[in-house]
Amino acid sequence: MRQCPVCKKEKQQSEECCSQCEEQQRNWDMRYDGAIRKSQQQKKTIIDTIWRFFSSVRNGMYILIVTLLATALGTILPQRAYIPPGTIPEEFYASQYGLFGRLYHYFRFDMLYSSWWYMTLLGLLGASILISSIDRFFPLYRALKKQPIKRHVSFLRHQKYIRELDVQAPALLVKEMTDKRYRVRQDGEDFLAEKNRFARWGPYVNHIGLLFILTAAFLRLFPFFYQDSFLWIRDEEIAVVPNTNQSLFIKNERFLVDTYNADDPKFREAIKLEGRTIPKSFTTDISIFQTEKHVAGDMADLDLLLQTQVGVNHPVKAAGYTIYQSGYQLNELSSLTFRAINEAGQAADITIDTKNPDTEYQLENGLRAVLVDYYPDYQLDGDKVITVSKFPRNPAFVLEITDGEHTESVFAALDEVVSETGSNRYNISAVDFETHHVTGLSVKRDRTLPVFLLGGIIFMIGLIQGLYWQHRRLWLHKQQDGTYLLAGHTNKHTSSFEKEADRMLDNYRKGGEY
Amino acid sequence: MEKLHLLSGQLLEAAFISYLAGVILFAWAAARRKQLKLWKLAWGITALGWLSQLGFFILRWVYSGHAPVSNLFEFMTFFGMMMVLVLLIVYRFYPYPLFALLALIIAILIIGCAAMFPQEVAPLVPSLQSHWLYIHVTTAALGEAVLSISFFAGFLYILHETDQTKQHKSAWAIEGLFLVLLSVIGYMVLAFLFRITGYTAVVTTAGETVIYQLPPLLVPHDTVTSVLPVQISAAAWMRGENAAQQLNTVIFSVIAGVFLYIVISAIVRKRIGAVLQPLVQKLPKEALDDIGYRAVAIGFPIFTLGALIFAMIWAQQAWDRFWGWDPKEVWALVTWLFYAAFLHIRMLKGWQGIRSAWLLVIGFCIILFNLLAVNLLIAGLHAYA
Repeated sequence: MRQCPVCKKEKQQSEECCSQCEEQQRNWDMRYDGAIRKSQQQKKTIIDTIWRFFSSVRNGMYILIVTLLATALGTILPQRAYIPPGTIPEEFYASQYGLFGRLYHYFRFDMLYSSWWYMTLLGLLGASILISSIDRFFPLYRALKKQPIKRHVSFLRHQKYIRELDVQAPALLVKEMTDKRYRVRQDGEDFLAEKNRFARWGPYVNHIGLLFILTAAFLRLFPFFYQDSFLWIRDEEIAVVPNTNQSLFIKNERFLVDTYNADDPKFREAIKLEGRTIPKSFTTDISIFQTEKHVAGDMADLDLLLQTQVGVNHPVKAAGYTIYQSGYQLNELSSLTFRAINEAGQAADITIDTKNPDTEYQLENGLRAVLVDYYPDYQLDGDKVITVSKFPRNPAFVLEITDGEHTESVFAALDEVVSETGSNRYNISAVDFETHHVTGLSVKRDRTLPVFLLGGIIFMIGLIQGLYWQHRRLWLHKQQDGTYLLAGHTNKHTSSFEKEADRMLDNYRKGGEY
Repeated sequence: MEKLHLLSGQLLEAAFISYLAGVILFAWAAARRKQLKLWKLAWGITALGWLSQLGFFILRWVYSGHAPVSNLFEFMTFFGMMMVLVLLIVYRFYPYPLFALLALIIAILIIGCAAMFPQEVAPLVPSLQSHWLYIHVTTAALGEAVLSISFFAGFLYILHETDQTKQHKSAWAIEGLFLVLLSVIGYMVLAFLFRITGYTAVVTTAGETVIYQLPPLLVPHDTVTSVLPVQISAAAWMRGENAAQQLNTVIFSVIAGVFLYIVISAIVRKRIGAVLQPLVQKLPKEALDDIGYRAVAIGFPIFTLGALIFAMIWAQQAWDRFWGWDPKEVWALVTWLFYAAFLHIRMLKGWQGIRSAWLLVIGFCIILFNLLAVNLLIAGLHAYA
């Protein structure tokens, strides 16, 4: 009875067994020495079907390519995170990009990377990585762990590299192999030379790294692992970091912008080309306070934790949080003073604080002002007044000024004051203002970072392990007629492997002459 | 200090001239039968040019106080320099003059295109002031350069394998690639000619004035005054910064490319691919396939490290998040996904050889898209480089 050369099953009808193995070999080029993977078993339950789907590299590639196309699709128009702040997405996409923009927004491609279907694609990719790795790892492990040194002739003849040799002194050929760092084992008169087997585990190692990264991305959805907040703090003001149970406070001692000197001979040309000053640094001197128990409004019980400077590219770590310099507002208006002069020439000043404006102001000369409306950063949108941000960069107020008899409604901003009632009883204009700088600090606690970094390191190790080394094997088999058969297998870069093997044979032959 | 700057510019010019000499020598070596001395001379001249460019890089670094990889001019010259370095190394293992010739031409085109962008030494904005600037950018450029080598091998493989006696798709696709190449050359020639004649044209639109370095054939849709008697208005939806001007440049490049193509075709009376095929067929196709795969196997980890991992570490420090779906980041991811797919697809039955060679061509297009188009068409955080 013939033995199947690959699966070594003697009992089955030899023909069937071999055709099955051959089919496999045709598909897998001896990658697993012809071992059967779980996905190739004949059972058929739903789980098997799912397993089979995800274990296929081909299916994995379909998922990968769809992910690739989806990823590229998201860059055709700017994502919603990058459109100008304060604009309404629907209007922005429609007005900037017409019908295409409207459709892009309609299909939510403007938030593509957080869409459920993109997440699903990443999940499918993860499943494919996990299942196809498990499906291949165990048969490969078994195949490489217990490698017989004596292989059947048909197994050897299936290899790509085959040489028929007349070897008189196999020990010399073996020496050539050990010189090339092959590990050679002997069984009877057969030899197996092998090197860099660890390279075969590279793909599994790097896929584990990828799974770490995908897991870290998933963990980020939980507040325990990921918290972020953004603080706008005016100069010399203090703010509490949200979600810290009122225990962490940051004070902006001073925000500073430094710019490059436009007369610097080195950079003069570039600055002229840019047409404006180029910033050199954005820094904030901050004090960080911590408290065990904080009573609202009472600042006395704050303990100074750290006094330091935070700048772009120089984040500060404190109390488990990292503080980043990530925004600023220069010369925001802290307060505006308007002067109202009545027909008799009597003047009254109104000073309005932009952060906490009062609703009513008692003025000199018996005047009273009521704040009806407040636009921190006003702009005219047709006839309508709108505010484009919540920052008092260009504040405007709607005031009702009354002396008891006459009430006049005015729209008052720094650059213009317009009477809405049209009776011009009072001559009103802005006479003074105060400004301040505001720093924008991003405060984050991200416990997934080590997981991402670990995943990245594992991934790189696996990549290098798998791509910079090749697993190479040579079988030297003594045939019945006394000649030798040399068969070789490598997992990649066949031509350089063959070059190496031929060179060893050459050296052996040359050595034989002496 | 000013002298340093001047000298660094001269070194770049010297490097450019050496590379041109390298092209001539490699072309000569490729056309003739094996002549070791000529091969070595070509390699030596190119290596000399590389050293000169290295001098440019170091002097500019010393002068400006930061690694010169902070804008498109600096990055593209560096990318070209890495490409030449990789080519010099690969040539030691696979001494094929034709291969070196192709790689060197592309490197020259990239360095030449770099010269079209502003070359002034610019100060670093705060977010760029980090050691990660040069760790990230140099590694990413090296990775992309190694990946580009795979394209050269793939391109030659396609040229080697395509049957030029018949009319069919892939023969014309090769001609298309040549047309793209000639368009880039055409762009450089035009830009150079118009620059030395000092040509500028002012186009006034409703909102601003745009200065064209080439004749303004295509003008913004709201143009008020221009200089040419004949002109085409760009579509109103083209709202990217200077979109009409950039498309105008593209149109001129393509016209120049088509012109060059017609001239060459008229001289040789064949498809360009058919002319070059006999030369390419002197190369062993297995070796080309091997170079293509090896370059990806070596370049992919470098690219991953430089363009993704180092980039993410820096982004976390500078922008408080390691990943923000900025277009440049996204296209680095697309490039990475593509080459990851390549490494898997190549293992599948029937995807070695010609099909994998075509994949390598696509991969290079993605790299170039990320290099240029993302900066010019899609504004983002990487707008400076």
